[in-house]
Amino acid sequence: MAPHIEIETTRNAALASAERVWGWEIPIYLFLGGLVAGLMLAVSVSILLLGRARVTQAMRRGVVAAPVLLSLGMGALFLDLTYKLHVFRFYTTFQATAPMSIGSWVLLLVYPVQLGLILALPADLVEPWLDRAPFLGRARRWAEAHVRGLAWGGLVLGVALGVYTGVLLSATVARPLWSSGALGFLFLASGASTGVAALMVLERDHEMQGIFARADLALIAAELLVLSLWLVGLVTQGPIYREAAASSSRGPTPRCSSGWSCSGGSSCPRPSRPSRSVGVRCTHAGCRRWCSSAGSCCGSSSSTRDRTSRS
Amino acid sequence: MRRVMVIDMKRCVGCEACVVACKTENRVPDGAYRDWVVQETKGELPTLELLIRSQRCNHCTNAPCVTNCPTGASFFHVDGTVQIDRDRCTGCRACMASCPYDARYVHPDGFVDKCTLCVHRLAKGKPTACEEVCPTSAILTGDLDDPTSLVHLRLKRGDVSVVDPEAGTKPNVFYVG
Repeated sequence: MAPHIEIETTRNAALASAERVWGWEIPIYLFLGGLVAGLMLAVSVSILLLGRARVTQAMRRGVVAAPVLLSLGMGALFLDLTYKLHVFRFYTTFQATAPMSIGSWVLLLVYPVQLGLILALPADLVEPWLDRAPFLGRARRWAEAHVRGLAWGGLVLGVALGVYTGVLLSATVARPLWSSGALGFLFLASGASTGVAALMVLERDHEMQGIFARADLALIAAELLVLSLWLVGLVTQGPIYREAAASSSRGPTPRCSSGWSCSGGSSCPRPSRPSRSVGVRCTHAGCRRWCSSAGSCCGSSSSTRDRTSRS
Repeated sequence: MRRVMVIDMKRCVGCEACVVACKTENRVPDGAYRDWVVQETKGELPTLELLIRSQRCNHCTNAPCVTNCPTGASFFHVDGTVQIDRDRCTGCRACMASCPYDARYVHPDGFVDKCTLCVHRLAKGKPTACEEVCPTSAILTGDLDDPTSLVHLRLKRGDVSVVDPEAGTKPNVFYVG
């Protein structure tokens, strides 16, 4: 192929490109959206498989945290808009081909289901408030009677919330790195893993911690599998996609993101999780210090493990 | 009706008169451009080839900016061009992330903006601002569905290319020569 140089003589393409990039708000939303999807999935699956009686206080707190975290994420989304006064336009139309439009409506459906789950499974910090208003008591009785339906709703909407953020990015055909069907499943696996890990950190019940640890390991394995499929897809699709895949390993920022977020985020929690799931405690001080400094999630899980082991 | 633009790269000298005319006509803010000039050098010495292209929104038939717009602010006009309804735009920039040509920018007022193919001038029977000022008549706009139009006759002669055909967007700005 003959060498080929393209120069834009009018505008600074690098500056034009920098303006196009979404700011810090979008990664914050993507993380919180994934975490909320994971919390919803973990709690819904627990209700459906283990029954309402096995829902622990930590899971109930997770249910309360979900709408708060989602609202923070939506706040970040709002901050990213350059025409904030027109935010209501998301809800005056439905565009079936636009993942962002579908996502806006999914977000709106998520709140009532979360509210229902909060009423059906009230956490200790919510319970006193439910006795103060009669209508909340009636709503609670209704939610308790329909807890399995709400769990199914949470399951479906959790999957939709987890997948749509990835589809949102993969639909932007102009970005070869994102333009992959695997991205939706990668985000779902990653979000579910994060949600389960968060519950594992909050959980005090040793048996449930073990269940969460095993579930998280399975989800991390699924995440790594989809991540591999995504990279294989990029490398085998053509020169543009190969270049995009190569860009993820060049420069300080990509190294940081691929090194810490992918490798660190997936493998750092590993030393503590398998040991917990089989009831073995790692006593090596250097390992624990390394785990604690590797990330807040890992650090929190280390401290939780210590607390559980002592009890 | 299918409004298209044909740009003759053999005629284009890269004077950027089209850029200045567009900025003046459409009051494009500082630092933003609705059209721009690209110089492409191909080959190896001593057989180098220089192509000069005036680029803009390609008003794609298969426009990812339209399909990804969550509010319907990006839409297809009756003449097939891609337009923006400023009143519906939220500035989410999904369209900008979707555009393989980086043809869009955020206007200081908050909405996303781009080349309209001077739809306001075409409605009055005038040529686009860039077409009007082009000193070498390298730019042509017309209805591809009209067999007597200049664009139809020029495209019929062949030797036509589009920018980034691999994106699968079916651009309606064609380059000849």
